[in-house]
Amino acid sequence: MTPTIEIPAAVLNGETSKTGMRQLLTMLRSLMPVLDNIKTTVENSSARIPKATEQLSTVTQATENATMEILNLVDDIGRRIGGTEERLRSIEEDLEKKQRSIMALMRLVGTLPAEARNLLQQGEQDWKTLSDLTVPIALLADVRSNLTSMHSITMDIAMALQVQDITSQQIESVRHQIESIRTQLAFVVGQYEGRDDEAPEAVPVTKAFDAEAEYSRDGSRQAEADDIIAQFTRNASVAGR
Amino acid sequence: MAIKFLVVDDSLTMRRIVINALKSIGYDTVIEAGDGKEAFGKLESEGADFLISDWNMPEMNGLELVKMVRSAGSKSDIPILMVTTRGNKTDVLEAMQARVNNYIIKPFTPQALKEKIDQILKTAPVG
Repeated sequence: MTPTIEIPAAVLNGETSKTGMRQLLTMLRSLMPVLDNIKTTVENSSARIPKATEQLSTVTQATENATMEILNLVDDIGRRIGGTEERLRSIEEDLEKKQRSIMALMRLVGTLPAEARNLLQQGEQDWKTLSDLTVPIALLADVRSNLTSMHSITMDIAMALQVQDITSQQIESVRHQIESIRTQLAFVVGQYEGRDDEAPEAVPVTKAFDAEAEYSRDGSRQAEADDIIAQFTRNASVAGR
Repeated sequence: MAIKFLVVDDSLTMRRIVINALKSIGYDTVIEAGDGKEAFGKLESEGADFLISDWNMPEMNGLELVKMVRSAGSKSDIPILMVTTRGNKTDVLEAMQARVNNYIIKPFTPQALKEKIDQILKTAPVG
């Protein structure tokens, strides 16, 4: 149960009589367990902070590891797509070469003796089918176009992983704030216990971060920055004249 | 001539992402550094034609690196592109006053990176 503290009427009325002083002392004595309770709570909470900040660091490390794994996979996919694209290109070139050879052969057919030409004309349809490589070439071009799209998608995945850097800065900012609070609380507890500790200095930054880092892809922040740069460049140009 | 890029970021994943983006737009020659101090050392020892730097880094941050390169480095005219999460007006102005050539706010796309590099190369050709 939370203890309640009643301020004696004598104190409220500003009385300095013996009764008033006695009532004030009684009230102060009743405050002691409450303050002790607060101190214990603060100490217990502070004791948990290092573990919490350590857990935050672990989260950052885990996301960095996972991001590197994803980047490795994305690179691997990119390499495989690149290899397949090259292979397809070589098949396309080969087919086009074959197509040209068959067309040349067909043109030669007209110059052959009649007997040979008659024989070949019996298999005309087969020749035509053989020479028509337009469909497979178009199919290969289609596959290659899909591969290019996939390559672009893997790049989008890699770019989206910038979120890891941004969130790790946000986490570091929170970790730093928690550590600052812990230092302040330790100082307050020290004062309560009568220690003559010096006021704590700002918690050193162990890992650089931007407290205002945000993952936004709408381009508005870049547009604002571009305007500022354009204005700056104009002013510099005018000043330089 | 192949342009040699120096990519500076304390985040391993961001360095990898920037390098991937550079490769996707045709720039394959890249070296990297994890903070400003290391970058300045590499710039002096290995050289580079184009610097892409983050802002928030330990040891020496990106802005300090830019100021140092512009004032004391042997490559004081190198094109510099800042790539950072910091997007408020004061930051952008501070970077421009330190003489970065352009500024990209994360997250970026390879297309945006290409546009900025092209813009810079138009006004500050390398080599």
